[in-house]
Amino acid sequence: MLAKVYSATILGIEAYPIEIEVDIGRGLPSFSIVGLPDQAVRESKDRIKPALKNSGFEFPVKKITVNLAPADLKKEGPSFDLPIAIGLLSATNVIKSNRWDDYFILGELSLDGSLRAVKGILTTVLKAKALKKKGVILPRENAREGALIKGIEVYPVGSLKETVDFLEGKIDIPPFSIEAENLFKERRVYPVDFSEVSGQEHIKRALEVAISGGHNILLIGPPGSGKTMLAKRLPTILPDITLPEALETTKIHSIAGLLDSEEAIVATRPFRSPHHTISDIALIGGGSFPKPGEVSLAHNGILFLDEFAEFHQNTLEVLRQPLEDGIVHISRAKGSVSFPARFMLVGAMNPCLCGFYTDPRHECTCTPYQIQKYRNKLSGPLLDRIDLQVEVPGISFSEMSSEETKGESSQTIRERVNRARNLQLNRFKEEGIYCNSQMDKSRIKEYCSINEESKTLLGLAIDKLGMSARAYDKILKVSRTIADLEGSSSIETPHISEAIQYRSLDRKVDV
Amino acid sequence: MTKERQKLGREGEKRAEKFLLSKGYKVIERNFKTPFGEIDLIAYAGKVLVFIEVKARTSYNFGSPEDAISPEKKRKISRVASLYLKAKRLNGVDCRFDVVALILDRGRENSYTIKLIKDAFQIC
Repeated sequence: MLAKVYSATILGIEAYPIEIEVDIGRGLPSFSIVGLPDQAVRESKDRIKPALKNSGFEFPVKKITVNLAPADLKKEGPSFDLPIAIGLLSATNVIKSNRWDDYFILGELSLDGSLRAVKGILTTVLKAKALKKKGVILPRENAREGALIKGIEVYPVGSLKETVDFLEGKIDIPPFSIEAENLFKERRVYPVDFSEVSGQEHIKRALEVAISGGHNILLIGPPGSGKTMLAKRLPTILPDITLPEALETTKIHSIAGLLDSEEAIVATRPFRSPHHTISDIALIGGGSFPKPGEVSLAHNGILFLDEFAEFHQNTLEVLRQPLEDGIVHISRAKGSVSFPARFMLVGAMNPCLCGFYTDPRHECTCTPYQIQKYRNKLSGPLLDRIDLQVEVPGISFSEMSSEETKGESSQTIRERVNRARNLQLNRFKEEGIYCNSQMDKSRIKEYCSINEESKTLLGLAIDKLGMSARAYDKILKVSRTIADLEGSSSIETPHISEAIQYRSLDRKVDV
Repeated sequence: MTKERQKLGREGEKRAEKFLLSKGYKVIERNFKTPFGEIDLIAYAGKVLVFIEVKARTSYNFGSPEDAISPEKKRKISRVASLYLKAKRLNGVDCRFDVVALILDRGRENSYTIKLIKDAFQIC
């Protein structure tokens, strides 16, 4: 007897439909799975056997062949347990109906026959919808995530027995539905707030500018000056995520297995802060079955790299391409995949090895050569892609202890950020970009025209402060954002002069 | 292999066959030998062709007899079984591998425990 069941496998962030054929024949008893299964798929036979037995079904003593078609695509993960078991039961005539032909079935079996959650549900349900399937049968824990997609039915099941009863029409399971908009409204409450940081007003301002325009930013300052403290509070002032953006990010998090069943959707912009010992593969994505790296997990959010200069040189260099394109292409023997990686980079580092080069209250013990060497860890092309470089001064005792310096709340800042972002979204409505940092040369020309006075100032800055020509575009982009924050349609001279201040590495490059 | 152990094996196989007969098995081959290995008993249980491995021990001191069937032994039996099917041109017959485990007490003649494990393993 031959039975066919439909499911899907994930490669990169795409789901591919898989046809599972189960054949039961006479001969020496065996159970083989063909069609490039990985270890987890091959092990599924050891789960299916006890799961069937413990659900009250008999495991056939026959020659069983399972084919996962198309045979040239590598299959991975435990999500084929359920469809293979269903195939087996229908090949032995335990299940007689064939109403699942129009469904995707997926789920991992535990030995007692109950179902466990699997990864990559969102992508799979999207694929099922694109292929005009009627619905998807999936583990109950995955129901919320699957139901985010409208226009396709999602049936949550808890166990193998329940699935069989459902397919046989013995029980009725209503399709699961959820209001994505409602999930969205439950805003996350953060345990931290910007008002807790006393002083450092101009750094807060720089961060506000950076977030408003989606500009990459590097904070340079002595230890204990509050770089990390400030950066950790960035999620509280991030602009609201839109539904399409949230779905994109959820897709990636789902494939990486980072989504829990309660969450179902990434409702706030992600904030990723990997440790500086991270490998380039973990950062960018990869592995023999390519998995998204930190840059993709930070898609539509922030990638915060604390102790920026301590990262391995080659790890930092791999950031160049995603910073430029907003997408990572990974090629492996098993196929080539692309992960979206449009993130905002926030770096924090000390100015030199001992950390006190820019601190007036401490003597720096580094030699000029050491400082040069430390700074050289960041290559020119990488710095090129960072729009704002800000020096964070050490904080004095009076600033630290003063009650009056209690800053603005995150709420107030976020409102301004949202206003500035909306201006940009309107401006770039038909351009296919979302914020000022994504402007290219021609768009800078179009949207960042400046008056004569500003031109003179900029010329002076470049000549007198020894700024590089590459800084020119960055300053224009950042001043556009500053103008947006003020709600001004044109870029004025004060905007330019503020933007010039945010290029501290350009000035200090020759120590 | 010592004479003693060979005797134990033969003794076990004899008792296993008697036991299987009482269970309704029809034994058709004993010690089916090929250059790759041997199958102790081949029998029909109803319409199902059963390949039987008999494992006898004198005590549980070294674990139960059924646990003493190594993956290597299973592979050997699988190979011999498929050879048997080809040699006898038995296409499209339902097959199964059973194990009979015995503990024979050497001191006393008729004291032994016996256990039949149906569908003990699959070909590998």
